[in-house]
Amino acid sequence: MSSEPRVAVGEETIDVTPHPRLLAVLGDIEFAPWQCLAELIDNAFDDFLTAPPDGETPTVAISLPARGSDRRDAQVWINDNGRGMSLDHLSGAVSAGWTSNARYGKLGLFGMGFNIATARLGNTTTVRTTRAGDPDWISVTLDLHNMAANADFEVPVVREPKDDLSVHGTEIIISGLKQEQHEALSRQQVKIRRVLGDVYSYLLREKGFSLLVDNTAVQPLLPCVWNHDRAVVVSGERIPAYIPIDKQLSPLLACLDCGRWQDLGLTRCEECGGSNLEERERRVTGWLGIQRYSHKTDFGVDFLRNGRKILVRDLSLFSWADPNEPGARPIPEYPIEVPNEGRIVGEIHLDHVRVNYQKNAFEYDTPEWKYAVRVLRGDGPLRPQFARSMGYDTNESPIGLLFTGYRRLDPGLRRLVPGDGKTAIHQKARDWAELFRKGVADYQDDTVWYEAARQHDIPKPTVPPEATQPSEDPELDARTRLDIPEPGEATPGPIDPPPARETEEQKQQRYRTVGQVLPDISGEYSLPNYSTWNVTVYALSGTELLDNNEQHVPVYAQGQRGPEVHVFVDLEHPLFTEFGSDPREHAVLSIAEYMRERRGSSAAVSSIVAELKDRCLPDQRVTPSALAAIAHSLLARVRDAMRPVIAGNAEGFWSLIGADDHAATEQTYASEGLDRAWDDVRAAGDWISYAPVTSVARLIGQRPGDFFDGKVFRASYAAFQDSHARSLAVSRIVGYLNDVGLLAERRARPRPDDLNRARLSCRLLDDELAEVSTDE
Amino acid sequence: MTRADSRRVPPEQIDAVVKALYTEADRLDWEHLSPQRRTALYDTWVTDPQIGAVLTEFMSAETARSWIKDGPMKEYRRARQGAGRYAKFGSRQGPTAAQIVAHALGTEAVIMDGTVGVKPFHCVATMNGAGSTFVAWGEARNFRHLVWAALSHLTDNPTDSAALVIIETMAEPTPSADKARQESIAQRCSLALKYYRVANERRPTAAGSEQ
Repeated sequence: MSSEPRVAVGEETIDVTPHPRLLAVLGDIEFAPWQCLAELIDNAFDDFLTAPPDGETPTVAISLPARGSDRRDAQVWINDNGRGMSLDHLSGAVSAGWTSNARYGKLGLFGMGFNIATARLGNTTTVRTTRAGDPDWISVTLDLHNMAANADFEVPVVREPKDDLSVHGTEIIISGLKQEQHEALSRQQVKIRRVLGDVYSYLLREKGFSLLVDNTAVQPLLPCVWNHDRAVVVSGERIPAYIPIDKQLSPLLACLDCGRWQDLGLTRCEECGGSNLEERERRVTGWLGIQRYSHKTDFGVDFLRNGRKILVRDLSLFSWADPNEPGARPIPEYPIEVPNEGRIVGEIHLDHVRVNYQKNAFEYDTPEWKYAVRVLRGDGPLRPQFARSMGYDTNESPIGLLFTGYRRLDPGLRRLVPGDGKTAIHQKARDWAELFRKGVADYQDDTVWYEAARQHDIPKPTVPPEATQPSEDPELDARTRLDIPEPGEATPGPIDPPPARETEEQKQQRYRTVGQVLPDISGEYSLPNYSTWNVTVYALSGTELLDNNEQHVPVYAQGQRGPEVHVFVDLEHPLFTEFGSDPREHAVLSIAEYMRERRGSSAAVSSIVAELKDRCLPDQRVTPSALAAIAHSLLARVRDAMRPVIAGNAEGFWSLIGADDHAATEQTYASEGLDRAWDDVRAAGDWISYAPVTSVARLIGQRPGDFFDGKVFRASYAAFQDSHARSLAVSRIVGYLNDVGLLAERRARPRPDDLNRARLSCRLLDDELAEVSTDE
Repeated sequence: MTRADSRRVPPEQIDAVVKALYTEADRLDWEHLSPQRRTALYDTWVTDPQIGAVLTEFMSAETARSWIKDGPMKEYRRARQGAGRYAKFGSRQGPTAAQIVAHALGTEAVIMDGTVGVKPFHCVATMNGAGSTFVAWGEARNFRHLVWAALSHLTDNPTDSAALVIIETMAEPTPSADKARQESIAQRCSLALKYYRVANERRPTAAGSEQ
C-alpha cells in the first residue's frame, strides 16, 4: 500500500526487487516492430558515434524471419561490428534501467530500450558479444517464461572460444517470437527498410553507417529539394530555396543523471542534486528548404537527435498559437491555399533537447525546444496581415521567409513550380521525385523540374513578324531564320565537296540538338495491352520539321532503339501559329498514333489519347475542381494586389459594394473563425480578402482609375482620351474576372467549352495582373 | 552477340572498364543493393565516361548495358572471392584456403600442392603427413554442393577424411534450425563441419586485387 519505495523502520528494510515477471510486462508497451529494431540499432549506432570500427564500415545487419517461416523456428538477429562488451558491460546492458551512456549524449537513453524492444518481439533473447583481443565470445540468454516461472533474475554466462582474436561485435538473437510480431516482421521487410531509411537517413548518408535488412542495404531517404542556389524574388527580395541553419547557444552544464540543463559554475544539479555535471555545447543546426514537388502530407520539418529522426515531417512549426491565450488551439497557417499542398521541408538537429522514451517526441515544455522554435519560425504568425493584426512585425524567420516566397504554387519560375504552359504539373513533379529516389541519373539534380518551370513561362508561339511583315530582302530573312551564313562570309565554297545529303539519323540528331525537351509531356507512356514507351518530346523553334518523306509536318514521332520514342514538334508550324492549335495536344496525339500503329490496334486514336491522358497525364485534367484551385489562387492574388489601394479609403470602397456583398463578406469572415475584431478588419481595408468576386468586379468597374495603369492591372486606362476605349479596357478585365469567379465558385457549367473559356480567362487575367509588390 | 561485340573492344580498354566498374560497385556496396537500385545503376553506368562511354564507341548503348549486366557484374561476387574470369579485378574479401584449413584442421595442417580448386572452393590438406583431409567451403546456401563434393572425393579416395566449412557473414548468420539440420546431415555422412565467420568487409575506397 505504501507509495514509498523503501521504508526504513529502525534497522529493518524490505526488499523491493521486482518480480522477474516485470521484464515480460515491459513487452506490453506499445512499440511498432520497426521501433523495436530501432532501439537495438540505436545501441550499436551510439557505439559507432563514439568509436567507429577501425578500417571497417560501421554496420548493423538485421536478419528477419522469412515469409512463410514457422514461428517456432523463427529468429530475429541484430548483429553489429561495434567494439563489443566486457562481461560487466553486458550484464548492465541486459538489466532494465541501466545505461552505460552518459545519458544525454546518446541515442539509447533510458536503459530500458533493450528490455522493452526484446520483450516486445519475443520470449527468448540471446546476446553474444566479444571485443577485439578477447579470447572468447560471451553470451547470456534471457528466457522470460523461465525467469518468471523460477522467480529468478540470475542467468548463466556461456563462453565460446574464438578462432580469430581480432573479431569484435555484438549479436542479439531473439526467438520465441510473438505471433503478431512474427507476422509483421516476416511480411513487412520492404516497409521496415523504408521506415528505417527515413529515420536513419542522416547517419546512413553523412556518417557512412551501413544498415542491412536481410542482406539488402537500407537506402537513406534523400531529401528531394531544389538546388541550393535556386531562389525566387518577392517584393524585390531574393528568397533562397535552401536556408542553412546554424545557431549556437551558450554552453551549459548537463546533469548526466537527470538530463536537466543548468548554468555554468554550479557543482550540484538543481533538479536532482547529483554532481555528475558536464559542460556541453548546444546548437540548432541543419537546413530548411523547398521540395521539388508539393504534396498533401509529404512535407514538413524533420527533427533529429544525435542523427536519428525523432519527428518526421513535422507540421507544428506551420501553426501559430497565441501565447497570450493559454490553451488556445494553434491555427494552421501553411498550407492554406488551394490546392492545399505543402513543400517546405527541413532537417534540424537538436542534440541538446530531451526526448520522450518512445523517441517520437521532444519535451516540448523545455526552454531548449521553445528556443529552437523561435529560431526557426519566429514568434508571430507567418501570414503578414494576420501578424500585423495580432501586433507582430512581418515574420522574417527562416520559415517566415520560405512561407513568403513559396507558399503559392503558381507554375513558373516566379514561384519555382513546374508547369506545362497552362497549369502546374504537380503530379508529374511527384512522379519525377519517385525516379529521384530510385536513383535514376537524370533526376538527381533539379534540372528536369527547373526546365519545366522555365518553359512554362516561355510565351506560346505567336505569329512570327516575318510572316506578316516580309522584310525587304526575303532571301536574307530566310537565311537568318535558318542560320545560313551570308554568302560573303562563307568559307570558300569551291574547295568544299558538295554537302552530303543528311541521313535520317543525322537529321534527328540535329533536331535533338536544337530542340528543347518538354519535360511535362515526356516520360513513360503505358497502357494495358500496349507496350510501354519512353517518350521524349522535343520542341523546335526556327527549324523546319521534315518527316521521312521530306514533308513539312507540325509533329513527327520516331521510334529509337528499344522502347525509346522521340517526338519532334515544330512550334512555328502554321498549325500552331495561325490556327492556334496546342502543340502539346498534337504531340500526345502523335504518341497515341505511334502506339496504335506499333500495336496494330484498330482502336480509335481518340480513345487512346483519352486513356493516355487519364493514366499518364493526370495534371492536364480540366476538371471543375482542378480549375477551381487555379482560379482561387489567382483571385487571392488579385485581392492581395488590391488591398493597398482599398486601405487608402477602406470605408469609401466598402460603401461602393452594396448591401448583399456586405453581408456575404461578413459571412465569409465569420465562417473562417478568425479572432480579430471585424471592425478592425473593415477599417484596415482587409475586408477585400473576404469579399465575393462580384464586389471585386464592381469596384474595378466603378473606380477603374484606382486599379489600372500598373496599380493592379497592367492595362492602360487614364491615358485613353476616348471614353469608349476606356470602357473597353474595363469590360475586358471585368469579363475575365467574372469567368474566373464562376470557376472559383464552381458555378461554371461543366461543359468543355465553358471550362476552356474559363481556363483561358484565368490565363489572360494572370497575364494582365501587374507585378505589384504586395506584402504577402 | 554480346560477346562478339565486346571482342571488338581492345583488351586493355576492357580491363580499364572492368576495373572502373568494380571500383564503383565496391564503393556503392553492390552486394547489398536492391534489384531496383541495380537497375538504375546499369543505366547510370552506360553513360559513365569511364565505363559506358568507352564501350559505346564499339557497340550500341543497349548492348553495352547487357554486357555490363551479364558480363562483369554477373562475375562480381565470384571475382571478389578470387575466382572466375575477372578474379584479378575483385577486391578480395573471402577467406584464403590457408585460413580455412587452419580453421578446420588447426594451424599445423598443410595444403597439398595443386589441390586447390573452385566450384565449390576446395583443397586437400595433410597433418604431419598423416592422412589427408578434403576440405570444401562455401556459403550455407551451397551446403548440398559441399556435401556432394566431399562425398565424391571420399568415394574416389576412401582412406581420406573430409571437412566442410560454412562461411558466414554478419549479415547472413545461419539460423539455429538450419545449423541443427546441417549438423545432422554432416554427421550422417561422416563429415566434419565447421562455421567460419568472415569479419565485416570494409567498403573500400580503391579497388584492385589484394592478395
